[in-house]
Amino acid sequence: MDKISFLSPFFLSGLGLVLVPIILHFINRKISKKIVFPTIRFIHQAQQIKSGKKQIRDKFLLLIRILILTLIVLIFSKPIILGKIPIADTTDTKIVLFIDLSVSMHTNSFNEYLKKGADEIFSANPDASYALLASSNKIEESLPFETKHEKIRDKIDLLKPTLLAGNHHDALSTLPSFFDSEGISKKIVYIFSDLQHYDWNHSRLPSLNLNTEIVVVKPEHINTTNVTIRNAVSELYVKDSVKKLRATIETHFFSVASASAKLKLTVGTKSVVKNIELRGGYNDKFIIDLDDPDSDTGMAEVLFDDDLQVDNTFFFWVGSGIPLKVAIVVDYRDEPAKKTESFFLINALSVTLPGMTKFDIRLVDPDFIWDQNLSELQGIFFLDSLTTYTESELEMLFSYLSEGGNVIYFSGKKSAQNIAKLFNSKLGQTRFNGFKGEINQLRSFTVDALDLDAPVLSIFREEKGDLNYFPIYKYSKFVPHKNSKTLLTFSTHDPFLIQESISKGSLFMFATSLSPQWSEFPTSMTFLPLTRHIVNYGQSENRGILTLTIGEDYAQKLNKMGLADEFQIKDEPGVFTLKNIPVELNINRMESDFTTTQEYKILSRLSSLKPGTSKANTHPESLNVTTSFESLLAALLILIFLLELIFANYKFKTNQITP
Amino acid sequence: MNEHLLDPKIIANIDNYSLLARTIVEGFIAGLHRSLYQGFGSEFVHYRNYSPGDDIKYIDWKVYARSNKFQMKVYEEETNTNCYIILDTSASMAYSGSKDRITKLHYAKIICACFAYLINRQGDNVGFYAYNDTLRTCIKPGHRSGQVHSICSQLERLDPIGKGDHNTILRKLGELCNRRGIIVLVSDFLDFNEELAKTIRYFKFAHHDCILIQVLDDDEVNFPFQSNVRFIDSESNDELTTYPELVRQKYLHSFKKFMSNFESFCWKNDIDVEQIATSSSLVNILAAFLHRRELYR
Repeated sequence: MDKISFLSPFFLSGLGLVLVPIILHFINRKISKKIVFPTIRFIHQAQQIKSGKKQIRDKFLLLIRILILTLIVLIFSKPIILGKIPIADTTDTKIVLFIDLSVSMHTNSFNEYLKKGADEIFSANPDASYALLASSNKIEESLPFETKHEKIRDKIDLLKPTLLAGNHHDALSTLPSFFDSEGISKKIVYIFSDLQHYDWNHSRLPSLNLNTEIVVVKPEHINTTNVTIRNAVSELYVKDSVKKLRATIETHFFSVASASAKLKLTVGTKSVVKNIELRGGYNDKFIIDLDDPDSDTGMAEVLFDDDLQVDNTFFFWVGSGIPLKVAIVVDYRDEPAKKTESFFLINALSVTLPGMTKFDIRLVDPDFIWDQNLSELQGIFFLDSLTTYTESELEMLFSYLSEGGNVIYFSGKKSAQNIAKLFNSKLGQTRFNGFKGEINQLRSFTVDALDLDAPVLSIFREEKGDLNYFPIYKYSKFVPHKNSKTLLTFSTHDPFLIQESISKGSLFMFATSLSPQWSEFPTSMTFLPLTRHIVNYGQSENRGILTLTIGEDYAQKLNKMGLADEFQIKDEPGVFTLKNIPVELNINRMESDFTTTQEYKILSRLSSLKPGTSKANTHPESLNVTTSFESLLAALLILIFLLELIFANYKFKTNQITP
Repeated sequence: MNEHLLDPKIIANIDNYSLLARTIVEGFIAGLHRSLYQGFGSEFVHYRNYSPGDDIKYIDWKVYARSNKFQMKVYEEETNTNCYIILDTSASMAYSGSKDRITKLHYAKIICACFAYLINRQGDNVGFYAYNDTLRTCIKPGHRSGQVHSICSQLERLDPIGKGDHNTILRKLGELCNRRGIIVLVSDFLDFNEELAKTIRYFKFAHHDCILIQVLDDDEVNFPFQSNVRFIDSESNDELTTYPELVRQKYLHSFKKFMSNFESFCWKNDIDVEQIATSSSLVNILAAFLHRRELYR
């Protein structure tokens, strides 16, 4: 017996809407005006003719309107007719068992489900020939038709889902070769899969036109409250003489409704748990702090009380990894005094304390741009030293920024030329509007306002230090563009620090010079953390930690880096080092999304048999495909709409009174 | 004629029927050219100058002998006509379309009071009867000074209630009104049927002069209701919910047919019928009555 099922059953709750016309109907009846009339004899004579018709029409309209609402709800719920597992002709049948071993099939009851489904098929078709095909993102197992039943059964017991994202194109493409031989009256493919939409993306399936029946056997339990950790970023800092780790965990919850869970952060022997609220269908970021981490590696987990999760664990590196390369560009030819300025910067970046990022600092002149591989650099400081750059050099700088680099510019005497150069080459949108203050130190300015929401300034959220106190005697007046972010502002409302996003990278512009005559910023307590944090800003591979994703083809990435020989491809997530490069290997794909592809789409892609029909006419009971009848419902809806229009606007004929 | 006083909107709030009747009738009569309640009976009232056309038998020749002027003797008219005013007080008379209109019964009561006053002032005997399914009030015709006051006092006590049993009561009244006279029957006549027609015809056979005054509300004539309405029959309490827009044409058709049947019955039997809406002035009805009274003289 065919069953009707729904792909979006939650829309069925909309059936409650049918109460609306019913309630309105009864309210309309109840609110009739009451009049005590001398005699209703004359009305009664007329009523017998007209009002009866009107009542019938009203009831009919009510019925039509209920039907319209019901049909709309049904269309949204995407109804399908699910076929029954066929009882096939046992004399001449060939059956392929196709088993999806992608990571989304990870459930506690996987083997049970597989075994139960296979046993049902074996008992229904004891004399059929069987073949086995198991696939993750490649063919995991393939047994031809000659294999004995027992062997297939044993093999099924051993199958386990992999940690790979599914891509069944290759495996499905081999299906026609199974049915090459002629004279077979009946061919069936049983697909054991959850049809997770990432794995069974319609466009990624081969167009096979198989002359076979296809039956999808879905697991009974599909995890509908799955969560994945997309990323984990850690920061180390010291507060009250205690080393602290702050991790920002980004999650995505694949559910319609919100849910409570626990976020657990483990670093070495220390761990901390925090209660979190996951919003259904949203990305969320959670910040979790841990005191005195005693390991370089950490693990974040989202824990639910009941459900098994797929991507709920994320491994990450705590700490610096390899030193980050930065360049300080100084043009000594014009200004020997720039040496002092670069000295402050080098000192700030060279500080090494436990848990702090190490920097590999290079003091270079503007021509370095031709010798250095820019993509290696995490940040480039320009101490008012852009004036000599030609268009092609600025273009190189632009591509560096576009790939995710950070450029930090400090003002100076030549700010007007430098800012104009950045503006003309479309590197920056900020304009220069003269200098303010004098270097005679008679009058000073201080930073007044800061944008605490900006990630760059997150270190000042808890403790501002002397951020608002160090004096600045002279600065360049910048006019920021509306798309720029002004991170720090003077009390005169002029910007002190501006951030401009250029593709993946960022351009930071300080309004003052690092010369002690201009300001005491380089000798302030704020200078060191701020400059270091700015260089660290922006996560990219240049950071030094290599992030790889299970399910993706990371061998290609390793090949490009010349590391493929050193690294055996793993399917287990974790953190490790590879030639002194810290590596994070995680699952953070869309595999956890429980949304499924509609069966009929898959069937129409793979099989030439139209849904709802069977080539084997001798076995009418073996219809097994899924049929969607949304279009039929839509046509019905239009028809009923027309009926409603006709009846709602029908005017009863009235007899003319003869005088 | 002071029509202002005859406007139903003015008189709607006055319950003193004696006062109402006197005011309306006096106001109405004051506007007429000829005194209607002075004639040539036996009791002398005063003299007046002779006008061409006057009957010379009433010239006082003694006065002519003394003054050489023709003076006419004017006497208070003396008649012996009986007027029977019969009022239907069934529940159907309780209807008033809107709040600023008066009920049909109130309007009918004013008519009765005015007639009683008018008749009494003309020296005729006036009797009053009110009924629904029983005979509620019975004041036999008389001409004493407190007759009108008695009628008005009774009118004030009457309220619209019960189902009108016209045939039984009118037949009974037919026996009571054994002396020839004028029958004034005030009702909405919505229950008019063959039986009632026979009863009214019976009055004619008894040599009564019949005046039927049909009091209706505008809503009954025009049926102006909108949207969904639950109608309750005032006498039977039957209910009927309908859409007046849909049934209006048919209602008006039926109502008009009924009215034309009623009128044709009256016409065939030489019965005066006055149809009056509660929104219209009392002038017409009083004038019609006086006209009838003149013919009867």
